[in-house]
Parts: sequence; structure tokens; C-alpha cells
Amino acid sequence: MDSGGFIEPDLAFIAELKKNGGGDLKKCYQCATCSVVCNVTPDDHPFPRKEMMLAQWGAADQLVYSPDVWLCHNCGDCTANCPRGAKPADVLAAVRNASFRQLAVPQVMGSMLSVPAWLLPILAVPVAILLLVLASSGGLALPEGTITYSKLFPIWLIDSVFVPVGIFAVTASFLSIKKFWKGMERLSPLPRDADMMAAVKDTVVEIIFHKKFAKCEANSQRRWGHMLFFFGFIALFITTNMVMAYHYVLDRQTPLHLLDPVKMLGNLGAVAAFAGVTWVVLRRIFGKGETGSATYYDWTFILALYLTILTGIGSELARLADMPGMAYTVYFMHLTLIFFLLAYMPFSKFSHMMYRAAAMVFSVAAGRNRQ
Amino acid sequence: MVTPVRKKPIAVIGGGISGITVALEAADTGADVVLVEKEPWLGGRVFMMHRYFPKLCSPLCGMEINFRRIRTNPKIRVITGAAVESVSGASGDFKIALNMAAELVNADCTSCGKCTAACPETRVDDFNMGMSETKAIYLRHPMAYPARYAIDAGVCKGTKCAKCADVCEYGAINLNAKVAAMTVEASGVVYATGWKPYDAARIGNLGFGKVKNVINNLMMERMASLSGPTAGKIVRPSDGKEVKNIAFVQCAGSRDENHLSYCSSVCCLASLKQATYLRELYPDSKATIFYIDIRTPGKYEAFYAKVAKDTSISFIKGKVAKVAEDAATGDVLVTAEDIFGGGKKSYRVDMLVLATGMEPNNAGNGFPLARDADGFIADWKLPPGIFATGVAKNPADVTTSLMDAAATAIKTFASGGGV
Repeated sequence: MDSGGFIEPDLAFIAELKKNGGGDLKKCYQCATCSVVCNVTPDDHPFPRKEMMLAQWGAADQLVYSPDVWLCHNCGDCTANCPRGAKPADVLAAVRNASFRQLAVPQVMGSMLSVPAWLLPILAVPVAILLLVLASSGGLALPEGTITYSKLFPIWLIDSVFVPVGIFAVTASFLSIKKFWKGMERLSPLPRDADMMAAVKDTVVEIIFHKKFAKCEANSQRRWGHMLFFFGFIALFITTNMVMAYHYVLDRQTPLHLLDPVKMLGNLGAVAAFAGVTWVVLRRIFGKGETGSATYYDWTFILALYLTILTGIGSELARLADMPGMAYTVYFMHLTLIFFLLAYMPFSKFSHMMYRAAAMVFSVAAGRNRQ
Repeated sequence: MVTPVRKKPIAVIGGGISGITVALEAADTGADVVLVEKEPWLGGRVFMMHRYFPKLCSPLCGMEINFRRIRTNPKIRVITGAAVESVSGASGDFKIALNMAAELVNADCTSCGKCTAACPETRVDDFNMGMSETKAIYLRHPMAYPARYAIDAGVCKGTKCAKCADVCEYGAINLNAKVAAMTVEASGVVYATGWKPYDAARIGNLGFGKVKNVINNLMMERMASLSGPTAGKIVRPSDGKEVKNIAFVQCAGSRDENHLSYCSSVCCLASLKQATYLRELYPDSKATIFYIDIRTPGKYEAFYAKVAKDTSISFIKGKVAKVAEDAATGDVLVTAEDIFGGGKKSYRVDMLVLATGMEPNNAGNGFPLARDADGFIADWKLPPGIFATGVAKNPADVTTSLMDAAATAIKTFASGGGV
């Protein structure tokens, strides 16, 4: 908070950063090695040196509404070269964690997603809703005959749950991004002649090719895990929409034949996403610290993704193996996890995709993409 | 008050400026002194310096006076070419076992230099930081003390060659001399084992050893020195071009938990001093000092202010963290963030000097004394009768080391051994 030239340190914010991965932020002595070794920072007002100072000062406003915090791709080159062990990469990750909470609309959701104590209650919500829907539609007994998941949850029933959840997620995302964008504009107004279309185009190309990840040195391996997951996820997203189109437009019902192009796309996506997240998890556990320190935000996000993929693959395998008890149970878990991911997306680490994309568009529009 | 009568001398290990000063002060106080040095000559690191800060005078003047005081003081015995094997015993009665290098050149040498002219073998000159070569029989410095040649046994072919012995008119060369053991008795022992420059090649991102025109600060001293490899010309190692645009990287491997975690306290002053070498030598030159904080404590602040008045010397707050070579020109490209609003930039310079810090010489595993976390001798943990002085126990400049050496001489004298 800047008031008349005086910095008013937000001590609670400093404490939040320290708790969420930035425990060493006070060790920084402003040598700027980090800004120099960083391959993804703009040259003009580079990061993360200035962010380290803002973090030490507890300048919450200038960090939470900073696009630079999101231009950081957590390569860890700053941490690897830091002479003081202040771990700038972790501090910026901590700022992003704090942002998930502070930028969340409604903010109470951000707060609930930020602490382990709320994990079981927020997990119980989808379980309860899905059980309720199940009980009111046809009871909790396992369907007879060939395993077909639409016997358990007819598609119209699934959609009547997930379409509202999706609308909630999209609305919350929109409001959070709006809050973030307005904050960025307040701190540093965009030029009037900013070319937004070009900025969006640049950003999309950047993301598709993972260009920034390619510049990482210390944590260069993560690029492949992220890319596999990213494209696997997109394939699964397309699959889901295609299945809806099959159902409502072409009247083609699930389960699809294994050689159906949509089914093949889905399976390919599942394998890619599984491989990607496995790679991420293994490197988080067995890496030599190049992934940075992992927080509650990281693990809830990674594990929710991982379990969603595993139960998705599990549902398909159990169905093919004709094990009804197992199949329907795993499928139920799979739906629960998808609900969890989707409904809480705007408040969890999952939302990094929208904040980072917004920050990249903003930076390009502001002319801060020069290196 | 009874004047103590010392039965055994004080032994001083290390013949650099700290050890020399302890020896002189202790001898002036009335003690007998044995000054032990593992190299063939006294003088240590300061002998490599072109000038001292802040007065910018040559160390040779003071060193000449010290050598004369040593030469004319019967209470001081100098033993060179002697590596300490062990120190045993207790306060008042120490025994110091020395491994004596073979005395291939004896005291009859007059430093006439005929041997060097005849010698066919060469060696890398460590005194000039590897920037030049000497013959296998050589004198480190025109003012070396004792003024006698030495032979690098690692390079010399010995009696198979013997060209030096053939031309020596004084019979000063004995190529059959063997290494020997020797024991010295002492009442007290002072470790003045000094320092070495931190190995800049270990700082991966600063280019030393990879980018040809990146040197360390001791190399800069030798270049500026008239007795150095370039006879006082500051030129680029790659092509011998006069350096008109130089940059200094402060804290190169210092205040860095990956290298030396401490501040060596002298490198800022050394770079300020070295910037004046270049400015004096080439009036159209300019220098840039990249720093985290300029550390010029106490009275040295005035030196900083004086140097900073020169508008051709600029200071950029921000540590250099990337160094590259422009292959076509040999120029050095250094990247830093100008913290005072200049952004991240690449700067092109003729030559880059890494202001590396001081690493204690006693950092090895076999060192017998207690050390602090940084490898310096922990003098508060030493047994009675044993003392440490100078950079062996703390990074320090020459002035501070001299004061500490005088104090250490008195402490050792007063410690009671042999009284």
C-alpha cells in the first residue's frame, strides 16, 4: 500500500508468504543475481529482484496485482544461483499462492481452498450432491447387465449437475480475472493504442509451444511433463464436448467403440495427461530440489489432477474387464474429482492458467515482452 | 617487575607481511624468533601487489625496510623452503618438525643470473598468476629475500642437465641436494599462514577460464606491476590490446553461500585502487564497478569518495551474473541489472576483473588447529602458547593485519612460555 510515499508493510501478507513457500524471503540482500540469470524476465524492470524487496516490505497490493509474478514460470534458475538461499522462485510461487486466495471471487472460496482444514468439507460437497442426485433418480443399487455408465448417471442428469457447476466456475473465473486485470491497470495503465488482439495471439502461440518453459535451465525437464499434461487435458476437454455433441446431435451413445475417433482422442489424451502428471509427481518427490518447495496448493492441485486421471483410466479398464462393482465405484469417484476440479478451479492452483494467461496478455499489450 | 628471560625462541609460521611483522615486533621486544616459510622467499601475497590502498604507494618500500630489519637483527632466524610437518609439545616447550626442500641453491648465490640464461627448462610462473613463464632456476622478484635463486624441482632435469651448475662461478648450485627433516624448538607458536585467492573457475557463471579476457584481481595487480608479466602495461590476455574499457565484478564468489559465505573486506578497496591503475595508465580509459554494496569501512570511505570523483569511473548497483565472449572481437559481454532503474542490460568491455575474495590457506583437512565455519583459525579455541594472526584468522587488509601482528607478538611474548 503506497500512501504518500510511505510503505505500510502488510505483516499478515509477509506471514502468508512465509507460510506458503516463501520462508526464506528475508534472506535476500538485493544483489540482483536472480534478475540476471532469469531467462523469462523482460529486461525493463526485470523480476524477481524487485519482487523480493516488495515481499520483504509486505507490499501486498503491488505483488498481488503484478503481471510479472505470473510471467515467472518457476524455472528455479534464480534459486539455483541465489547467493543467500533466499529462493526467489519459491517466494514468487508463494505470492501466486496468496493471489489464489486474495483474488478469488467470492473471497470466502479462496480462503477455504487455502487451508488443509477445509479439504474434507469441500470434498464432501460433490460427494453429497452426487449421492443425492443418485438417490433421487434411481436409488443406489448397481445397474444390471453390461456396464454402461449412463445407466448409473444418465447423461441429462450428469449435465444437470455439471453444467451449473461449469457456469459457476466460469462466472467466478470471470470475476476473479476482472479483479486482477483492474488491479494491474490501476498500478500500471495500459497504453491507449495497446493492440489487444495481437497480445492474445502472441500469448496463445507462447502457451501452445511452451516457449517460456523452453528457456528454463534449472528446471528444464518440467516442460515435457507440463506439455504432455497440457495437450492431454485439451484432448480430454475436446473429447468431453464431442461426446456431448454425439449424444445430443448425432444420437450416438456411450460407451463408444475403441476405434471411434473421439474415443481414440480421449484415450490418447488420458495417456498423455497420465504420463505428464506422473512425470511431475516423480520429479517433485525424487528431484534434487529443482522443482522448488511444494506447498499445500501444489499438492492438492497435482493430486486432484492425478486422481482424476487415474480414476478415469480405472473406470474404462474396469468396464472393459467387466467388473461392475469396481467400475461403478471408480466412476463415482471420477465424477466426484471432476466436480472438485471444476467447481474449485477458480480458487485453486488450477486457476494459474487463467491468471498467467491474463498476465501474459497484459504484459504483451503493455509492451513488456521485450527481452 | 622481573624481565622475562626466554630460553626458547618464538616460532612464526608464514613469512608474509603478518609473519614478518610478528617476527620483527617480537624480536624488538626482546624475544628470539624463528621465521619459517615454505616458499624459497619471504614476502607472501603483498609482494604481488602493485600498490597499497589508500595511499597508492608501492609495498616494495615497506618491504625493503622490513627485509633490512630482518637481515640486521641477530634475534631473527629465517628458515625458507621449510614446510611444517607437525607442531607438538606445550606452551614453553614446542617442537616443530619441518620438511626442508632440497637446498639446490645455497647461500653462496650472488643472484648474478648466469644460471637462468643457461637453463633450458621453463615453468609456469605462479607468482605472476600463470600469465608468464620463468626458467626452472629463477628468482621470483628482483627484490626477493633471501636474494638467492631457487630451482623448481618439478621441472628441473637435475644432474642429467646440470647446465646451471656448469656456469655458476660460485659453486652455489648442488643438484644432488636432498630433502631433509629438521626440528625447531620454540616457547610459543604463531600461525601467520595467510590466504589464497578464491578459485574463480569455480564460479560457473562469471566466465573465468572460459572467457579469455576475464581475469581475477591478483592478475590485475601483477599486470599493473612493473615486475609483472606485462611490465606494467594493462593489456588483454587474448590479444595484448591495451585495455581502455574495464569492468569489475564485486563479490565474485564472496558473500555467497555457494562459494565463500563471508565478505573478504578488501575487494571493494582493491577494485577502487585498480580502477586508478588503469585511469592513470591510459587517460582515455574508463572503468565500471558492479557492486552489491561498496564496502569501504571507516577511514576508507574517503578513498571511495576520492575515486568516485573521477567521472570516468562509474558504479552500477547490481551484481554481474552472466558473462559471455564476443568471439569476433574478444570483448567481454557482462549482464547485470542496474538496480537504480536502469533495467537488465548487457555491457561490452575490453576486460573483466573478478574481485575474488580471500580463502584461508589452512582450509585443508589435515590442518591441526580449530577453525571457524569459514575455515579461518578460531583463535579463541587455541591451546596456550599457540596464536594466529592476520588473514589466517580473519579476512583483513594490510593495515589491520599489521596492527593485529603487533598485538599478537606481544601476546605471544607475554604468554609465559619459557620464562
